[in-house]
Amino acid sequence: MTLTTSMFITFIISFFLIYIIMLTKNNKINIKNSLRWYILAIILLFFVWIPGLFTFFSKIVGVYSETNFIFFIGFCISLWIIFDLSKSITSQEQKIRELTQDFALLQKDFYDKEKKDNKSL
Amino acid sequence: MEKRKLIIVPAYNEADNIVNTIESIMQFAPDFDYVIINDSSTDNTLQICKENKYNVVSLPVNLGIGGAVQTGYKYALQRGYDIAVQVDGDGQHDPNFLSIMYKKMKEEHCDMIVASRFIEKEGFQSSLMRRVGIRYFQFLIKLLTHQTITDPTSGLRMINKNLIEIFSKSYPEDYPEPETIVKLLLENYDVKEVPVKMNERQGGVSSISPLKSIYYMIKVSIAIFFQKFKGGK
Repeated sequence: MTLTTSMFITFIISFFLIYIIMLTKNNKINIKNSLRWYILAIILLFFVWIPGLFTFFSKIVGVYSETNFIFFIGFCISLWIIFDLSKSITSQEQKIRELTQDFALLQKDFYDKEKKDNKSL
Repeated sequence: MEKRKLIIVPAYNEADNIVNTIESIMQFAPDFDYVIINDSSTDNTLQICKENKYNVVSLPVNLGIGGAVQTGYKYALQRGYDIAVQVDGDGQHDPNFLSIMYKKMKEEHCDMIVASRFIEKEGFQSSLMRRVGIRYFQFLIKLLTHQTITDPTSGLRMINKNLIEIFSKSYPEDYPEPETIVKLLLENYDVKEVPVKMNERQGGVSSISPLKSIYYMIKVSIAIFFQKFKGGK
């Protein structure tokens, strides 16, 4: 990997890290959900600045170019994050469904009671 | 003691049909209570229900057919009903058949009665494509459960108290009919069919477009296989 590539990737990752730290500080993203992004950023930084690590893993996986390997790592972790989002959407859908139903039924109880009270007045 | 019976009418944008549906329920099935589940319709379905003083539960956001019908089951459970039956709000289901379904359920002590268009092959038989899909589900159900259900996609289904409780806890989100039938058959519940005549829908639009039907087939097939995979009781 050329020095320019390393600098470029480092610049992007650092910018991203600062951004995500600011978001966490302002409660725009919670630590639980941002943790994976920190992991992704730090792993990528490691690989960019320790060339030996890089060559070693590239050889194990059988990827020719080290630059391709870094994209491959990024791609895998991104997929992991996206998959986890699908799981979290499912759980949120279930919660929303439950809430919606219980709200509607409570509202119905409330109206019925009100109607009954009005009649008895 | 006479059992308490509830008709659940899921309604999404059924302003054209809802009055007819409810009036015919009141006329032809007077010993049943009913509740409309307005699935956050964008037309004036809710307004019509309120003007006519119909019994309606209104969902604040759209949940889809599964979530709407499940709301009905929860309502039935809360208010202690013994029997619940789903009647679609689009006028396809004739309330005249409810007493026949109830009679069969009482006589044979079944857990679920499915109203089938295809036993006597009378009335509206659905489009060719739809029938091909239904045949496919028939085959799949036969393969996995060794039982024959002639109309696995029928929405007109009556269930007993036990199933009201089970469905209140867990019910598929969309296209629930074939999936729940497989689940019940695999868990050795007694599911029977009665022949009925269905009407063509009287207005509004069907929820299943051609493109969605492909999704329907794939989703329901996977769901059915998962039911088998989970295994029976």
